[in-house]
Amino acid sequence: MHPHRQSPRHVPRSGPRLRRAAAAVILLAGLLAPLAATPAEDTLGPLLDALATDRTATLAFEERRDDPMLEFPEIRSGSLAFDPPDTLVRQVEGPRGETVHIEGDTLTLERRGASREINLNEQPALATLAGLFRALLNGDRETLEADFEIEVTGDMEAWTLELVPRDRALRRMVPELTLKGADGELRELVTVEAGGHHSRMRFEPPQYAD
Amino acid sequence: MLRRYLSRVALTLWLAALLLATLTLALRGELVTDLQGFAPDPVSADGVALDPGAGPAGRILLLAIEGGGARERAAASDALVAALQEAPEIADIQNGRLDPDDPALDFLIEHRYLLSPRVEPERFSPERLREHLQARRDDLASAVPELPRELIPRDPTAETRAVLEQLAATGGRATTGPEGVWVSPDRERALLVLRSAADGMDLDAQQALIERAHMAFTERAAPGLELQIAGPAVIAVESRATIRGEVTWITTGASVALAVLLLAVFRHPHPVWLAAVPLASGILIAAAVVTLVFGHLHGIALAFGITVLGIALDYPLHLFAHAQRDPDQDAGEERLLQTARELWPAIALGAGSTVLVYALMAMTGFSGMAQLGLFVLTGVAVAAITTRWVLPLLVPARLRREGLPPLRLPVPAAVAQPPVMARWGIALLALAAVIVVASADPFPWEDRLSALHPVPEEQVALDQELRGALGLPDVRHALLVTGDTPEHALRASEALVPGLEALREAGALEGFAHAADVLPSQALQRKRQAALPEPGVLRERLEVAQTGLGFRDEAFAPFVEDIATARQQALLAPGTLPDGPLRHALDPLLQSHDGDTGWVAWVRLQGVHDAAALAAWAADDRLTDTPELDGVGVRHIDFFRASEELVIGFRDEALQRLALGLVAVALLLLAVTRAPGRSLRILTAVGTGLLLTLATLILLGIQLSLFHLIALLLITGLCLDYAVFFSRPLRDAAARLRNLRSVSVCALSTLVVFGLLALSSLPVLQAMGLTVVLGVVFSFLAAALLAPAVIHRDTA
Repeated sequence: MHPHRQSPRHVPRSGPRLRRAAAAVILLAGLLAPLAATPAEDTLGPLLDALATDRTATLAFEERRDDPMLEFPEIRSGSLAFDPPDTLVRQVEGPRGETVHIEGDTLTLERRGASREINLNEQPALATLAGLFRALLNGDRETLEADFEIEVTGDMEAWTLELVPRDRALRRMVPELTLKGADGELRELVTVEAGGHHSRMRFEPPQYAD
Repeated sequence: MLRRYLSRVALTLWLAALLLATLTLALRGELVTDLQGFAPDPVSADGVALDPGAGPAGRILLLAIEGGGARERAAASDALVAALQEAPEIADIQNGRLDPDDPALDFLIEHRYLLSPRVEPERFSPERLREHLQARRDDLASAVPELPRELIPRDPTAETRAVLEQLAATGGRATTGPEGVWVSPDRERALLVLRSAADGMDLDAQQALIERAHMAFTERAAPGLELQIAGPAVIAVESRATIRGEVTWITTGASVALAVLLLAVFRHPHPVWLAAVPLASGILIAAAVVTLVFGHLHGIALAFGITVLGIALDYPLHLFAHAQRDPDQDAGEERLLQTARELWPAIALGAGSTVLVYALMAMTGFSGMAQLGLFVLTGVAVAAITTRWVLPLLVPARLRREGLPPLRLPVPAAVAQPPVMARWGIALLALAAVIVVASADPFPWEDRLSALHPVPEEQVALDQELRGALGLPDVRHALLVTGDTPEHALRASEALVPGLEALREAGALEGFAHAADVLPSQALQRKRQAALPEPGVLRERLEVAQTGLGFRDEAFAPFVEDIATARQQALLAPGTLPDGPLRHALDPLLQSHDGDTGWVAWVRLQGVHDAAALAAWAADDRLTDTPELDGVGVRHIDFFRASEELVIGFRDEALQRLALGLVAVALLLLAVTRAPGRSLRILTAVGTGLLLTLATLILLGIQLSLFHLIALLLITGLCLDYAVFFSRPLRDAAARLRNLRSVSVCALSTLVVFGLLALSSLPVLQAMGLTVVLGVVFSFLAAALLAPAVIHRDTA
């Protein structure tokens, strides 16, 4: 039903050799598929293909944080902007608003006029979380599977991705992330953190700059 | 009858000595192969061992994984940790990934208020608390919290982070890669640090550990990846393997070459194995004596000792060379015994002088050199005695009666009857050598201790590279703090901090790390406890501070509880620290003195730019204004300087001993020969041989180390032997020729053995080989040319 549903898979910008190799792999996979296919693997590939974009895209969201330390849940709105291949800007409005700008290995945090720069190479946990969105929007299955144990349920019409970090330190802080969506569209991200901190982000359909 | 009886006694005594020696070696023999015992250990003025390879630092192995992709390397690094962390021979293995379930982490969190350098009363004032709570409120809302949200209820002032940062700064500063494991700065290698349970110098255990790590890696790592291991223990294990390999092939090669040479010269198989009898007896008994005196025998002393004992081969060779069939003389019943008796004064004089020189060497404080000295002097004495009293009895009766076939050894006429010109030639050469030696400025001494160790260069380079990549401290400069108790040493370290900060600001150094960074003195821990507010006060302040931030009322109850606990927590002491990162960081920095009284704390210095300013500051009594720290010493240590001074000290000692040895030998010669002319002749030959060798080494551009000196000592012994034989008053030209051939066989056999040694890849063995080869040639020439003319030139 959605305008983007039928959009063809975006082939990453790659040389002809890589494309030929990819074609060979797909052909081979096609031959073996009847023998090896499991439902999860069936969905993850097309799902990532559908999520991937090589265009500048912005997703508006509303975040609700439930926290045992706070008297009331905190509800704020913001946006997530992706500029391929690796720039991601997360902006939150309101009294505790902040802008997180990730480009390459550098994360810049701006809050109340002050800014702080963090080298992601020194913060592996943060790098994994920041890398999650980039991997999703780039269709980078390899990075995703290296960083998380992934379980896919549902079908393309309504899918759920359960991600458990492989890094033990990160898993201790963030035991589980759940992504929900339909086709190439991300609808919801639920993050469960140690200590009962809980966040739910609901996404609007993406807006493309071009 | 008496003679037969005496022979039987000699044989019995010899067999008994061999049996005793064998028993000693079998029951008490211990071959030590580490390098520590052989090369001198640098020691500070108050007796603290300065060798960075000993102690806790010696247990660290540095591992690097190369090749493949970053992710494969990280996976291999994790797999290696998983495979090895439970192994009993490994105390600890780290790859940079923090184990969130590590109990040691809980220990750090529980003791954070004693350990955090930021704890002071001001930190818990109402204003500062407000700032902390505001920051934590931001953390709750942020995608990038400053403090893990899990810790906020317990630790709103972020002391955990302060403790971890402090610990990371003392333990090294490795780069963590995007995969969460340590990597080299160029990210081409994944790095790990392994701490062995066994002592760093327990080489068998270290070797097993290194093999185990390689095996675990091969089983688990993706193909194309490579594991490299560095560290003091690896260097020691590799040196040992190299020494073993080299000694094996040199010994085998030398034995074969010698057998061939002797067979060719004597044209009879018996002399070949018989020549080995005095040498073998000497080695066996010398090994037993050294074991009895020192409690163990050092592998390097054994290897060098056997090499130097090559002189002992000369004695039977002299005997056989003089015992040929002589058609003009009656083949007497006791021909060989007769020869042995005739040659004994010369052999005894040569052997006695050699024993004298090595006895002086055995009396040094340099354990390896003392063992070598004792080994050689015992071996030489035993070999000489065996040659005189036992060897002739072992020769088969027919051979004993008839003598050996004539030697096949062409000797150039020029050596047999040296022209007068040749003497002038050698005198001129000696003069030139004096000029070369005297004008060498500076004298090419090798003062680096490392030059004495047979350590492969690449290993040292890899060690330094990985050490740098892991941010382990500079090994050259340090401050040494000595105190009666750990508390004294820690308090002294703390008292030094302001001065060190000033030095850092002045640019004299870039950084420093000390034991009290890891474990504060109990005085400081008590001060920190006193800085913590009472629970009631804290609760009131929190209530005010959290107004309007949206926190729940009891949100910080765990914080209040932790502070209350910390206020009466038992203070930490070095003895009560559990195994874990704190202990691992503290052990290399704080140690009890080898004796049981006294403690040593190190201040490791990084990037020292002005060592002179540092030394002056340390020498100026730093702690006089703190009366309770009376008796605490602070000293600046420059490890390179310390080991250089040590080498210089031992070299001076060795030189003195060489000089003393020559004087003693001169006196011995004079006393025994009672012929000043002959003594002078012998000494001149020895001096000329030594001078020419030394001058040639200098001209070849070789840096002279302690082992060149040992080789010069050996040459002294050889040259003495040659000169004594050449200077014998002889009856006729035939005797003279026999004498010449005899010395030539000896010189040739030594050339064969040391020529092989000069081919060794170990710098130490090579130095000895080359020096001795030169020495043999020059000594032989000097002794031959300085030989007296025959009294009756033509009796034949």
